[in-house]
Amino acid sequence: MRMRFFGNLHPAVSMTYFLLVLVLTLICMNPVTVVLSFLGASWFSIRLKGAGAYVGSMRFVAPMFILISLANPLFNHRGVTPLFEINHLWYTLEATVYGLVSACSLCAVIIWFTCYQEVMTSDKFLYLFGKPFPGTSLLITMTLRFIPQLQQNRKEIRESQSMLKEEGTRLFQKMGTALRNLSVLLTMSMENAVETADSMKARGYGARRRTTFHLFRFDGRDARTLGAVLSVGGVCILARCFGHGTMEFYPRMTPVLLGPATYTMFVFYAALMFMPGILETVEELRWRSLVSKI
Amino acid sequence: MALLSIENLSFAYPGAPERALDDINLEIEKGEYVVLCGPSGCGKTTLLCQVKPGLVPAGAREGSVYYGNTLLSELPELTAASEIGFVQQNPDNQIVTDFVWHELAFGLENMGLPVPVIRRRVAEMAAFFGMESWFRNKTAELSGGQKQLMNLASALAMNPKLLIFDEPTSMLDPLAARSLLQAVQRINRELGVAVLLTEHRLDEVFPVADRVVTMDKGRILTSGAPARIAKELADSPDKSRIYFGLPASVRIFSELGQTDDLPLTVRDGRKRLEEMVQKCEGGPGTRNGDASSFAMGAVSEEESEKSPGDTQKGRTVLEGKELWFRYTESSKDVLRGASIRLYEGEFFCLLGGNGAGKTTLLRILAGLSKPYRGRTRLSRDKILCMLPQNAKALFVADTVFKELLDSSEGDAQAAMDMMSLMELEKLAERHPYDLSGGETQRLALGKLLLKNADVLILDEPTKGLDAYAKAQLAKILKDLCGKGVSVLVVTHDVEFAANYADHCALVFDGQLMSEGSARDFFAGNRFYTTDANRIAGEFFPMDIRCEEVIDSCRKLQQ
Repeated sequence: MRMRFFGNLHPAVSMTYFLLVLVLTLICMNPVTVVLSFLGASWFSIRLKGAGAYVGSMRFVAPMFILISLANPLFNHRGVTPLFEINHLWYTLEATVYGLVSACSLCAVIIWFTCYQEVMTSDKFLYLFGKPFPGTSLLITMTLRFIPQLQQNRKEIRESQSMLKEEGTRLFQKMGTALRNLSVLLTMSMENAVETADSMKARGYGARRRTTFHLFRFDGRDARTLGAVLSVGGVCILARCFGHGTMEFYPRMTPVLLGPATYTMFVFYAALMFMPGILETVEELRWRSLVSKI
Repeated sequence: MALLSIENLSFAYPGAPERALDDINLEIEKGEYVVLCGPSGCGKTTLLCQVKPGLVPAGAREGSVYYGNTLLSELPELTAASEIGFVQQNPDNQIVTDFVWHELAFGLENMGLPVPVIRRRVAEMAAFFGMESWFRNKTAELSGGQKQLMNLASALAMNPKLLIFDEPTSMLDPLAARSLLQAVQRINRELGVAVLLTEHRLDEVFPVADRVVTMDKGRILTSGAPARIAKELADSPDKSRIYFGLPASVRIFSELGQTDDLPLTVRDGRKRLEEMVQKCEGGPGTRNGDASSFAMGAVSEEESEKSPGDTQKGRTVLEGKELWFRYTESSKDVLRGASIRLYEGEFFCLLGGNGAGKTTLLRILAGLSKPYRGRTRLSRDKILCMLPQNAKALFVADTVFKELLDSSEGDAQAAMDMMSLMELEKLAERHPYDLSGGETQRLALGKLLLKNADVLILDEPTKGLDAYAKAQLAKILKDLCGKGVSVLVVTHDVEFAANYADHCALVFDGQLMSEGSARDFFAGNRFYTTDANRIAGEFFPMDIRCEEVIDSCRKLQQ
C-alpha cells in the first residue's frame, strides 16, 4: 500500500480541510486563486490515485472546462472590451475571462470532490455524522453490508437459473427470466434478513441506546495538522473578508492585486491548496530515506 | 449449582400436531462442553432457541428453563444478551455491519458501552483469534471460515458464560470447520466458557466434548461421557442415524466387538489395532515388524486382482484440455494447464485444498467461465447441469411438488416420479426453504434431472449433511451412474469420495495431480486420506473404508 498521510488523519481534520478548501475555492474568484486551487487539487489527486486515474478523470473534466469557458462569452455579452463580433453579438474580454475563471474553479471543485471521496470513506462519514443519529448510521452501515451480499446472490441465482431455463434472446423472454430471478432474489433476501434480525436480537440490539464504535484517535499529528489548516485557512478567509483575492468582472475588470496584503494572501492560499500534496510527498520521501537506511 | 437447567420442557409450534420438544431435562455446568446430536429435524435447533432469550419462537410451552437461579424469561434483557451467546449456522446472514472491526463491536455497542471499553474488548478478541491481518477488511470480502470465526468472536466479545452453537460448521469446508471447532475448544478450555453445540461432524467433537447428549423426535435419548455414548450407540441393536457419524475408530472397534474403552481418535485407534495385530501374530511384543509386513503383503496381493475392473471405461462425455484461467489480467493463474476427462456413467470426485482451483475448474466445465487457453468439449447428445453450492438459488416455487412441476414443465407424472426417485414424497407440500440440507440437495438434483441432465456437476454437495444424508445422496447418485449419467463432484469430503467415487483426483496448483481409482488414490496418499486408512494404513494399506478395515481384521482374527 502507498504511504498515506492525509488518508490516515482523523476524520474531523480531513473534513475541516475539505470544507475550507471548497469554501475558499468558491468565494475567491480570480485567475490566480482558481489556478492555484486547480493545481493543488490535481497534485493531491495524482498522489492519491496515481497519474493514470487522474488522466482518466480529465477525460470528463477537460471537455467540461472547454464547454463552460466557451459558453459564457457566447451567451453573456456584458463587459466593455469587445474582442470580435459574431452574428451581430460582441464577444467581450470580460465575459471570456469570467468564463475561464469559473470553469477553472468548477473543475477544481470537482477534482477536490474526487479526493474527498477517496479520503472520506463511509466509516469516516458515519463517525462524523452518526453520533446524533445512531439508528440512521446503523441503517447505512447495514445497507453497505447488504449491497455486496445482494450482488453476490444475484449472480448466483442468475447462473443457477440458467441451468434450468434458457435465457432466450427476445426482449420478452429476457424480461420474463429477469422477473423470475428477481422474485427468487427477493425470497432469498427476506429469508436471510430474518436470520440477520435474529442475530441482532441475540446480541442485544434494542436493549439500550447504542453507542457508536469507531477506530479513530485524535493524536498529536492530527492536532498539529488541524492547527496548520485552521491558521492558514483563517488568514485566507480574513483577507477575503477585507476584499482581497477577489475581483469584479463586469462591466470592467478590477485589479486583482491590491498591494502586499494580497501577495501575502496568495502565499497562504497556495500553502493551503498545496498542503496535502506537500505532506504526501514529504511523507513518501521520508519513507524512502528510511528504507534506504535499512 | 448448574449454569443452566432445563426442567420438564415441552414445546409445540403453533398448529403443529406433534410436540417439537417433549419433556426435556438437561443441566449444563459452568465451563462444560456439551454436544447435542441427533438426526436432522429431531428438535436440536428448537431446543437451542428455547435457551436463548430473544430467539424463543411462539408456541405452546410447558416446563421451565433456569439460568443460575433465575427463570430465563425473567432475566434482564442485557444480561441475557451478553451472558448467553448464540452462533448460527449460516456465516453470512448473521453479519450486520460492513467492517470486521465494527462487527466485533456490534454487541458491545448495543450494550451502550463507552468507546474506550469497546476498543479494548475488540482488541482482545482480535488478538485472541489472530484476526489482526484482516481486522480492517470488509466483511463481504472474507472467506466462509473467517466469517464464522468473526461471528464467534463477536459473540465472545460480550463476555458470555455460555455460548450456543447451532451447527456452526455446516456451511464450511472441512478445513475451515476443523479450525472453527478448534477455536471453540480453545474458548472452552482456556476461557472456561460453557459450550452447547449441535454438530454432525462427530469425529471432530467426540474426543473433546465433556458430555454428549443424543436426541430423537424431540426427546433426549441418552446423555453422558463421549466414550460411554459411543459404546451405547455401538451396542444398540438398531444402528441409528447418529452411529454413522461416529469417528472411524469407534465404528471399527465396535464392529469387531471390542466395545469396552472404545478409542475415540486416530492415534488411539492405531494403537489398539497394533495391539490386536500383535496378539493375532502370537504373543504381544514378538515379531511386530514381521506382522505388519506380512499383513501388507497379503492384502496388496489380494487387491491387485480386484483392480482390472477399472480399465473398462465407457466413452468420454466431458473433456477439458489444458485449461488455463485467471480472473483478471494481472492476477495469478488459477488453473495451469489442467486436463480432465469424464467417462459415461462415471462417479468422479475432485479433491483439494482451498484456492486450488477446484471450483474454477467446475465453472469452466459448466461453461460459466471461459478459460484463456485450452478448450472444453461436451458430447453432443449430452446435457450438462451444475448443482450450485447454494442450491436454494434454483428454487422458484412455494412447495416441493410445485418446484418439480416447474422443472417438468407441467408434467405431473414426471414430477411425481422424480419425487419418489429423490425420496421426497413425504415433503411434497413443504416449502423448499424449510427443507433440511440433504433434502434441499435432493430437490435441487431432482429439478436438474427433470431437465434431462445426463452430465451432473456438483459443487460441495455434502456440505452440512450428516453421514446418513450423505449415504442417501450417494446412493441416488450411484443409481444415476448405473443409468449412464456421469457425475463430477468437487468436494473436501475425503470420506465421501473414498466411500462412493469410482475415480478421484487431487487438484493442486491449478492442475490435476494424482489421479486414479478411489482405492489407488487414497491408499497411495499418506495424509490426504480417510481416517480408516490412517488408522489401518500400516497394516492394511489398501483398505480405505471402515468396512474393509473391519473385514481385514476379521480375517486376521480367524
